[in-house]
Amino acid sequence: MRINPIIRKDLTITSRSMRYSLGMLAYEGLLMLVFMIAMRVLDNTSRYYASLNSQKLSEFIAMFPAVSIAELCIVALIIPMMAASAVTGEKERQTFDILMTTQIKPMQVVTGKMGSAIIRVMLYVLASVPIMAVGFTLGGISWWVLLIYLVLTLVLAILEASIAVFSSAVCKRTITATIMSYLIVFVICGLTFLPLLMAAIYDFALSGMNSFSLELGVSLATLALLPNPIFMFLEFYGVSLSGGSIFVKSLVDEGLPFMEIFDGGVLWIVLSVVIMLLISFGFMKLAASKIDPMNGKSNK
Amino acid sequence: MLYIEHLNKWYGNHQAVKDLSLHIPKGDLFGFVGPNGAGKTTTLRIVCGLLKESSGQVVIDQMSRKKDPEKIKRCIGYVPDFFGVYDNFKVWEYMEFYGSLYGINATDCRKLTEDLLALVNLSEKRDEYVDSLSRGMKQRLCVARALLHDPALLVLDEPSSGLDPRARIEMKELLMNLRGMGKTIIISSHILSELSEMCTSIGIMNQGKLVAIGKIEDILHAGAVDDVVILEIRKDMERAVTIIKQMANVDLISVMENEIKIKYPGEDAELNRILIELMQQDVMLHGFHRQEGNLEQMFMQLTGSEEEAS
Ligand SMILES: Nc1ncnc2c1ncn2[C@@H]1O[C@H](COP(=O)(O)OP(=O)(O)O)[C@@H](O)[C@H]1O
Ligand SMILES: [Mg+2]
Repeated sequence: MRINPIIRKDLTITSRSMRYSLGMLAYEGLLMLVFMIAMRVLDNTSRYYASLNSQKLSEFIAMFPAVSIAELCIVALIIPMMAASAVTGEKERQTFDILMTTQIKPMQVVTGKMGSAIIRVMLYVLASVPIMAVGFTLGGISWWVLLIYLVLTLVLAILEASIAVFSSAVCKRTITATIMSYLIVFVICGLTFLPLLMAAIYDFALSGMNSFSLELGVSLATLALLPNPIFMFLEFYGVSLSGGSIFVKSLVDEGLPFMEIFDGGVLWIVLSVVIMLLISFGFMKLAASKIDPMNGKSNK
Repeated sequence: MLYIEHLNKWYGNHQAVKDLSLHIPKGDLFGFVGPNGAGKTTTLRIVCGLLKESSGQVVIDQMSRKKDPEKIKRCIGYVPDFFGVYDNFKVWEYMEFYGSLYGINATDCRKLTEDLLALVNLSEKRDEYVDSLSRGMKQRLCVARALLHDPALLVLDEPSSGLDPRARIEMKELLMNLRGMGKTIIISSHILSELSEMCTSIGIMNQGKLVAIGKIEDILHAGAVDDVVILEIRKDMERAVTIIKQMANVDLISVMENEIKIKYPGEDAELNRILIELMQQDVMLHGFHRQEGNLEQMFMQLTGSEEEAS
């Protein structure tokens, strides 16, 4: 299979841009800072005891969540910036029309643009693996945790990139596309709480009755959190660091119906990944049909 | 080669193209002329599949966009009126990128790039950054790019607008070259004189309508500018005028000191009859000539004189 020409082009161009190098510098610097602060917090003396005291060593486990959470935040903020110019950028540069007269299909434009953004971001992510690895070599976390972490980050990157490319296909300008993608990400991360919150309040208000159907409502409202990356990573840290679910477990303990299937935490993560990929695919489809000139009544 | 059939395009409730039909045979260099806002760009964008028509259809080599959307793309090379290039991208990379969008493999593409850059006279710019090229060079590069997949039809929208005179001439030479190579070319312009020298036929568009189409001579003929004859008369002006006024089918356009401008319909035999009549009545006819066919004038007449023509 040939590599998507858009990925090649975008990577060639960005690799020559000052912005990308400076971005990398800033990113590495920031992670470095988090790393140093984490070292400091862990214990001034751990460095000296490290080789002697295995109890001190295990404290280095905390290095992994500290650095990786910082990294996730950066990644989550960077992708919309990178991918939101996918279509608008080509239009602003007046290269889009020529692109659309060639034999490339709208879906290839979408995957190419997502691909180049994801590759750029994964370069950032992979560059930070050695820093995180401190938590593994010293703290004794098993290697698959790192691998799964990378896979989940990739899923987050795919989700956000598809949202950004969709926004870019819908909006006229890169700035509005960037804002729109942040908004959609915010809706997914922030507003998926709402059903659960409302169900819980409702359930609480009528707690005297405590009927099965009310509790079922709360359980179902919980499912709205499946597409939420925050909860996916919460469960991931729970499973990998403390051996079990953090969030869903509390609901299981409440005795809510059906929640026990999520007891181990792993099913939640798997379902979350599947749903996020489905949502991404939906955004990709929408974006592709939006940029197809032969589609719809669009005049521009 | 290219058939446009009853094409209409509405932008909201403004109709930019009105029932446009035309046929461009293979090997033609067709000029699409009209004042700004006539609907040329809209028509060309529909031909290239960048805009969906409101009704009507475009057929190229018996293929319509509905039935063979992919094949039809391969038939067309498009040079837009306004286009940009990527920053930080070299000329050969530019060519290779578009080559790969047509699925041309890297080795073939390298060879093609060499040939096409030579054709558009940019061989020595191969390793330079595209955005460092001059406007005329970018335009020629864009033509080379549009030729990568060897399209049967080349569509150029106002290729010489914004170019200096020298770049214009180079562009024109390039187009003549391509015409010699047997490409079918459509080129639009709002300047008629630019096209009249190189095009095999032209279509004049105004306010979304095609007001005239055909070979340049035919258009002139149809516009009847051809049928105006100027008679030079030394003596007997008044008598000549009365004779002509009496003749059926002949219009007297103007009378000057020793020239009469007349318009007659149709054949040369008719003109003979007029001349014989005058001579038989002893009018001293010193000479006569046809009014020069003036395309600009024709163009102004067809597109309404309030529009700017150049
Ligand atoms: N995207 C658009 N939306 C609305 N009206 C448009 C659009 N593009 C062009 N028009 C209108 O359609 C008419 C034809 O424009 P155009 O095809 O660009 O003419 P030309 O290329 O001959 O100068 C003009 O009146 C223009 O204002
Ligand atoms: Mg135009």
